Amino acid sequence: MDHAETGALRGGRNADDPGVGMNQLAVADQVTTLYRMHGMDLLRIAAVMLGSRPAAEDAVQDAFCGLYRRWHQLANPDNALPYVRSAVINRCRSELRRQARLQRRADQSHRPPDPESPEQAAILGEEHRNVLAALQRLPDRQRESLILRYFLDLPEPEIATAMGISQGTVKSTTSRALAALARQLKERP
Amino acid sequence: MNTADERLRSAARDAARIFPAGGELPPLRLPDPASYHGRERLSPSMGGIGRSRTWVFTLATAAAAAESLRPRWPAKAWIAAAAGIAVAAAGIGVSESLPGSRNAHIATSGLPVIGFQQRTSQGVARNAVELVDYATRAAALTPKFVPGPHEWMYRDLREINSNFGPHGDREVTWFEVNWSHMFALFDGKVAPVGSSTGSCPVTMSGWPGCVNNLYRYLARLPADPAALRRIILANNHSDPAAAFGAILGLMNLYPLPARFQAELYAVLTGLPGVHFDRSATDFVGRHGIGLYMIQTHFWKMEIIVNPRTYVYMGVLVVAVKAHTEYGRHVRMGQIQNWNAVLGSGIVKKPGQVP
Repeated sequence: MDHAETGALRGGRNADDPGVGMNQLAVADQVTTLYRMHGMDLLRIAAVMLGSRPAAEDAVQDAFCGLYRRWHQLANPDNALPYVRSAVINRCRSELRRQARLQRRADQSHRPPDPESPEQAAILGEEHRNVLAALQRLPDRQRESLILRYFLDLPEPEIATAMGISQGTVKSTTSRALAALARQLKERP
Repeated sequence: MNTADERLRSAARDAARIFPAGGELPPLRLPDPASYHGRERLSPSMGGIGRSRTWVFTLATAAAAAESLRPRWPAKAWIAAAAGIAVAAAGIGVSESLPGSRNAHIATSGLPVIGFQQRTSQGVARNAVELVDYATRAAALTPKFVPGPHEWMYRDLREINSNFGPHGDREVTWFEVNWSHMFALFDGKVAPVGSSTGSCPVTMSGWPGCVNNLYRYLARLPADPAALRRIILANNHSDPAAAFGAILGLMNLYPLPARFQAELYAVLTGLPGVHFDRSATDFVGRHGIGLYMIQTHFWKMEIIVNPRTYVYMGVLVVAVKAHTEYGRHVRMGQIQNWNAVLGSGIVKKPGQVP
């Protein structure tokens, strides 16, 4: 489990935890309800991060399965959504690292995905694919902060929770990310 | 569109169009609980319960049952093991209520019995029409009973499913009706296993609102089976399979008033695709009759009912065709879930039986 996911679970296992004592059917219901309510938002940000809808679906699926497994460790059911957001981000990071490793192993230069690929066409309209490509050239944290702010419309405190960083860092990272994105778009409009 | 900020906002609007809130999502496939760490079985012999105080009920909904398949033993072994348990159960005198003599901490509550009773039997039901008819007449002889929020739902369940070993698990539990507290029997002692402070701790698939006021909701439902069927279907996207799963889940978890139970039998028999089974057997080997539905072409989900008392006895989920599901081969006859409710009712305090 990445560090960002642990924040919502710090309460640990305790007989007084609201999650403890729920039957598995009830937990499945809770997780499924959360998925229905927020799954599409999370699928959207995962797709923008990964540039692939199938990979995004896998990341979101994995994140909710992780939530289901660890539900009894939630200190508070209200932590479920922040937890699963962090989990999606972490899975996207892992997937991007995995892709980068594969590319390096194949002795290829690390290139951004082809902006005209069919997978990307399923994520954004043609006029926005250069924005997607530019986002994918940003460093991880910068990309994540912009995606959470613009594509999930999260306020800074929630971005900080999702990314496992402070609000101040969110502010500075987002500012730098916007400037970097502007440069990218200027270079490759 | 000049600045990065504006272009991002425009791209985000586009993404929201392509991934709209409330849009169709791929189905969520939750994992088999046995595949993750930290899960303990509610079996006193396991010795893990007192350590963690975490418990897990295991009856899955139709969808979850089909999605959480993780077989470990061949079907024959499951059946043989279940038969062994049936013999053992017969030896210790298992009935539909937990005998107090089996445990010094167990005492009767003195509250009226919420469900069907032996003395109200109208005869042995041999088909679905008789089941509904007899159950309705028997239910009319029972008092109306809506459990209060601080009374307790008691259940003694024996269960086997693809997540457990061949000997199954036993769960004896008490849930406060408002779901604030839960107790279970561990090593002969009644112990708290959890509490909830939320206003809506959980919801139940196919039923509106929260579990903590479900009885109040059920009490407001119409008695007329056709009207009740319409409401249950409306709560389940007009899908008979989902409605069947919702009713099954409710019967399995909640001690239901006999009148409502009879109405549910009437609803079930009117659902498209529901069939009557003259011979069904619950997990401890008790003979019953069944109402079943074949779901997703491969799974038979059966509600097992006592033909003489009309009490809900348990459920069987079994593969009726070999198939591959989520990359795993499922054999014909493979059991996904099989249980037996040995006792169920409303009591005043945890540790009591009806």
